[in-house]
Amino acid sequence: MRNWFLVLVLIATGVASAAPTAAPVSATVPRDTTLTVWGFVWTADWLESIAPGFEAAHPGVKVNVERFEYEVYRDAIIAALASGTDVPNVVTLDPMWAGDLIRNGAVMPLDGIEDQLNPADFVGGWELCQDEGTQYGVPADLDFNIMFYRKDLYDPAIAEAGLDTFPTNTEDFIKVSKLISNEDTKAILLAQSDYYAWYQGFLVPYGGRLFSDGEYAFASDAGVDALTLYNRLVEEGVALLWDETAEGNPMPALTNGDVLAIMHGSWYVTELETAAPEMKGQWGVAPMPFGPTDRQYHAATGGSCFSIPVAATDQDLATEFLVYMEQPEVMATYYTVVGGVPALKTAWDYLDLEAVNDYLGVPLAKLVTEWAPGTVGMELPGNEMSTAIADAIYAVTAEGVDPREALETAVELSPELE
Amino acid sequence: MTNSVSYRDDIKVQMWQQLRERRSRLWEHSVPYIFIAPFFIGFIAFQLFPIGFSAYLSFHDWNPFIRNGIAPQNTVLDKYAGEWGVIDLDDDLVTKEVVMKDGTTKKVTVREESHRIIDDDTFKHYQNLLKDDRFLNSLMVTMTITITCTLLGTTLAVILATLLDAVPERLSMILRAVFFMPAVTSVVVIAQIWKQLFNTRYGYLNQILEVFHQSPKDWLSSPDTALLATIIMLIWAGLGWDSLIIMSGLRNIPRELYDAAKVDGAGLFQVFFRITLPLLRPVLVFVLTTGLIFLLGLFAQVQLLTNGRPKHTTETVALYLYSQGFENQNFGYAAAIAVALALIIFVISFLNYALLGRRMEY
Repeated sequence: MRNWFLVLVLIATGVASAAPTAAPVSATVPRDTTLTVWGFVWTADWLESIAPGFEAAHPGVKVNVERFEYEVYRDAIIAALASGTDVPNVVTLDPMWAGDLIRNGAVMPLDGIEDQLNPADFVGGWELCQDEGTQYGVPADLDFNIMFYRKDLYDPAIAEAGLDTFPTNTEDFIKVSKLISNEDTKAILLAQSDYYAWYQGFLVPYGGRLFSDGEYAFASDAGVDALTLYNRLVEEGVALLWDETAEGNPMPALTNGDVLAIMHGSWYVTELETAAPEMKGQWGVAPMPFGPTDRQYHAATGGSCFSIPVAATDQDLATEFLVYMEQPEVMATYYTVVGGVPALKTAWDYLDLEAVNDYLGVPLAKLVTEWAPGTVGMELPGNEMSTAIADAIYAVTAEGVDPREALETAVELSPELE
Repeated sequence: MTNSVSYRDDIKVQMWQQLRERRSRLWEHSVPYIFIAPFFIGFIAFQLFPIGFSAYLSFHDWNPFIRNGIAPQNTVLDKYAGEWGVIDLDDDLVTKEVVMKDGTTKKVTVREESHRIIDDDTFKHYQNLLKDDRFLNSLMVTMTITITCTLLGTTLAVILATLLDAVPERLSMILRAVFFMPAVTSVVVIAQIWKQLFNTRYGYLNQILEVFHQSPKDWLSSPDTALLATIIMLIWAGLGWDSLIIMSGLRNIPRELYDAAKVDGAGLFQVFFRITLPLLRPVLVFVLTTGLIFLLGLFAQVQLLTNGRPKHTTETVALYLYSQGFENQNFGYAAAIAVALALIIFVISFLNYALLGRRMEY
């Protein structure tokens, strides 16, 4: 019995002496920690490409990029943040649904981020990640709608209309598009019940806003004009209304020649190139032409925001990661990996802006940077509000409801603002 | 002395024997419960508890993102605080009358220093449900789908089962396998196939219509046809499964009854309505009940095919519930919708059994 006791004491002594002792904290001591970053599809591609650089600068830190398909990503974020377990340190947010998460207190305000990143270095994207003046994220790319058009068919019509370039205002666009539209072919595709397309390419150019002084502002004269134009394009027979939920991807309509132009971010060139490689050289790009001639903006810019959940651990490290992302040489890789032009202007110095996009035959990145000053960061909608606006678009275009009446109904259906 | 010792020993032995017998009986009675315990543990943890929690949530505004002491101060979070996610602020709670934005007064609990309101209206969600046009619309859509698919689908399944029972066995086997294939096909695949068929510009259905000189239809993007298209897909998807179950019921009907009916000179319809249908009743009740429960809670098929569009004309209650919870992040209201749906399913299932299930003939 005594011998066993002595053996146990010896073992315990050995274990205690092998245990690590506390050491003073030192900046040079590596932190054994994992930083989990969530991204969907293309943002995950980019996050994976920049992770090694952050790991090299932060010994002991492992960046774990978790990738999701876009369709399930929002649900995954909500479930994770609501459960409070295994919450990622950094998340990618889509501006279409980021607003509700921010207003529900799920995302951390980035107090003091302006001390580390200069908002003046960004074009449009900085405001994208704000709510009521508070910064909740840092932007990735400039994602404003531009016109992808069949230049082999548009250019003759543009010349016939007496213009030198792609139309830059509504009336010129309608004049040109009528020359190339008929019963089977339409000049442009408009998405049915698509709040995002209407907001970006129509409401903002007309000077409209979603919110103003704590009230909903989209039922203003600007909103009515924007919705009236949206419907007018359909009524004048130059636009094909496409319900993507019902009809699926509109690419067949583009490749078949049923529709000759579509509005999308500059990234859409990769979609066209994949789906229609045989149409190389047939497509041109131009800024959105809709709105008054003296409009300040031709589009609003969307894109992704990288943010930190309130329930995340290691928030300081997560903030370091956000700052790292927005280093010019790091953010420049967003273009090479994803094809999106960064919202960070200083990153443009690291891009070969003169490089010609092989599919389009134009220096796409350079064009986007030239058009970017004519955009503004989009306001973050709430989902109920965007659904109500989508219903208003449907009511006007499919049911013939008066635009003002439809937008006022949308205001009534939207949740009360605080 | 010796006698009393042996008597005490006898008592002890008897007591131990009784104890062993009781333990043995207890063990015998316990064994079945031990075998079914894993199921019930899972049922309680993953079904009963969430159901109870949902019911609890339905009486509150719940913001699951709030974490004690971490919530940012510049968002009005107390609107969603409720009892579950209360922020651990230092303010005292007091109950007072507050003038709301619309001019009405309301008794609410207020954080005294910050003057932020915690909504005390326990039945608010249920009251809003009755006034919510979109919920009432979704209820109408769900009922339309349920009644149409149940009645029409079951009728077609009975006819199909009868035909499959009448053809030679080998042919019946092949046809059964063919008709049953949708039941073993992924919902996603089925929805995508029908989306292609219903496509306005390139779908086969419109091309067939054009062959017969009919104008093409906006199957999925028109409010006049979107619900019909959804019902067609659902009936097609469920036909094989229902007919297989009904066929098993048909084969359990004693053949002698048909022989006797034949001898008595009964016609086809008389045989069907006087013998087949009544004896098929238990199976039909099962098919109807399971069909009702499935259709009342319909979600995936509709989300994949139309996502409730156009303009909510195909939005079921379950889809609206998902929209409120995961899109609008109104979790308390979504929970109230879930409870309302569960009650509706319970009542309808009960009525179905009460009206059709009793006095079954065997």
